[in-house]
Amino acid sequence: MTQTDYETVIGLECHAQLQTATKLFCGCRASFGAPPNTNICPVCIGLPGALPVLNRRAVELSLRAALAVGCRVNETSVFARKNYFYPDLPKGYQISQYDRPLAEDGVIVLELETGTKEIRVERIHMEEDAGKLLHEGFDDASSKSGVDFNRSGVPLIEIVSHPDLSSPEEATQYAESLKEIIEYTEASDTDMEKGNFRFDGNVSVRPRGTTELGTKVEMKNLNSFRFLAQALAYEVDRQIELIESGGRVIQETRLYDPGADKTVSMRSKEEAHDYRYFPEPDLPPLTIAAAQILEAKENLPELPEAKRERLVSAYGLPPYDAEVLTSSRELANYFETTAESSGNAKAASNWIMSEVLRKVKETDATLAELPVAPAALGELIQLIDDGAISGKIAKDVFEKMFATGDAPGVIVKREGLAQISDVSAIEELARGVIEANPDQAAELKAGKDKVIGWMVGQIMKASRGQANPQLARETLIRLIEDA
Amino acid sequence: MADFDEAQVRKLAELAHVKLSDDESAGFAGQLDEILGYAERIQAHDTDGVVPTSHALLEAGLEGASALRDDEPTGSLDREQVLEGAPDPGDGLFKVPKVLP
Repeated sequence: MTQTDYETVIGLECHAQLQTATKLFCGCRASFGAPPNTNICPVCIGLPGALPVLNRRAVELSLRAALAVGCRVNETSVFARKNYFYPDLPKGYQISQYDRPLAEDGVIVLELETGTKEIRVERIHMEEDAGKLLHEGFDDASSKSGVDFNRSGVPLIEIVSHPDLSSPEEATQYAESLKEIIEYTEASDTDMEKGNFRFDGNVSVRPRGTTELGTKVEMKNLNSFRFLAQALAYEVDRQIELIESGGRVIQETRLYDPGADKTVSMRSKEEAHDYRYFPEPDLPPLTIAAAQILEAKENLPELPEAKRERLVSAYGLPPYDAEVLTSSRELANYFETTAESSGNAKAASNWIMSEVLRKVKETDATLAELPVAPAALGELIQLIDDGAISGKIAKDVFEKMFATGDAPGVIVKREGLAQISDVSAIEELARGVIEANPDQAAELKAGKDKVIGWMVGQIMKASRGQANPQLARETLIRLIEDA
Repeated sequence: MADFDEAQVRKLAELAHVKLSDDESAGFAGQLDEILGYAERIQAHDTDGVVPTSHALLEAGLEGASALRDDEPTGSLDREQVLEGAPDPGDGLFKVPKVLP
């Protein structure tokens, strides 16, 4: 058999850190970047006698995320202990949810080239994060690891898909789509670089046409979309080659090494995976009233798909523009403010997709950090539409807005960049160009239209780009005809 | 009987990081078998229509929804004080034998 005789089966598990001020079961701050072991207390380092109390905000945010991916929320869910030993797990168990998770049966719709495909979400459950192991940055790092428990107890939701994904590309698209939706709900900031949104993948292959699932391998450390795609593609190839050469896939956990672009075995699952779950005796079952679920549903923010449709219908944008502009809620808001203050949605979209996103990329800044606020960009577009400046000059003004943070009107006035639309001023410029270039003027008079573009260019040059090009052209023709 | 054998005791001991001698394994197998046999007798009873006592707090009238706390920071422990109790503190960290990353 060849590669195409196999089909790929992928399921993704996503861990999203909830945007709370404090941890899931204690009042320690959940903030990122504090000095090691400064946000810890008896609850999150597992001191004897300490008792967990659930964070109300974490429940609200989890509920929002669950509803956004179309899950049915269980009115009663149960916390459970997942027992295993690892140095980053101070209690010897992680508080998670097992047989009665917060929510079940959601769906994410992917737009594929072959049409739409529904990827089922099996469940969403709440759990606490583990601590962080450090392997370098201290003198005895060659013989020891260090544990920082600041992250221990930070609230997470785990979003588990069914194995409905048929290729690494589909898996990546699902991951991007999920990130977009969760970011819109503001349940998590979905910052992948900080590890606030990360994926594990379950991968197996089987001969095309068969229904029995192949032995799956769990992939860890898929913490960027690029790594996710690369690691899954590598693993699919590895499994097919293994089977083709007469080998057998064993159930194990593999870690993706982006440097070497390969996956390496972490541990065989058979021993390590007996977690002996049992209900957490220190926490009562979580009950969420039907009224609260209904209220959360009504208060859900507009989700990416609905926003895309609205940008097309309300602003008349092409679907491509709507797709780009809704890639984050922040960008969509930036667009809507610019569109409203300029009164020209398409121009706003063009400016944002070209100039603004270029600046974001160049400076590695967030939109909120850009010195050009959307209202200021709107004002710039208005100046163009009013004929006060030319489109070419506007690009320079934008650069200056970016450099100084000044309003476009202020820059245009200060630098004398206003477009020259005064007929007598343009006439003077045009006369100058005609006198300086008698040969071309004669050609034009003789009906050779080819030179007109060049002559208008000379007027633009003489005006340092400030002449109204349409007016310059009209004036030039009039003067030549009158001569 | 529940048929709890020594092999299962050894498996559990391994998962729980508990070291047992052969004698202890055999002894615990017998005792655990007895305990589980008792549990089996309880499970054999018909509990249809009996409301489950899912949690002692609920029985005390404390609903799950009200057993929540507000998302307000309440302060953390002093790091030096915490690390005093650690077997091998250093660089503000709990040092442990090298774990392969």
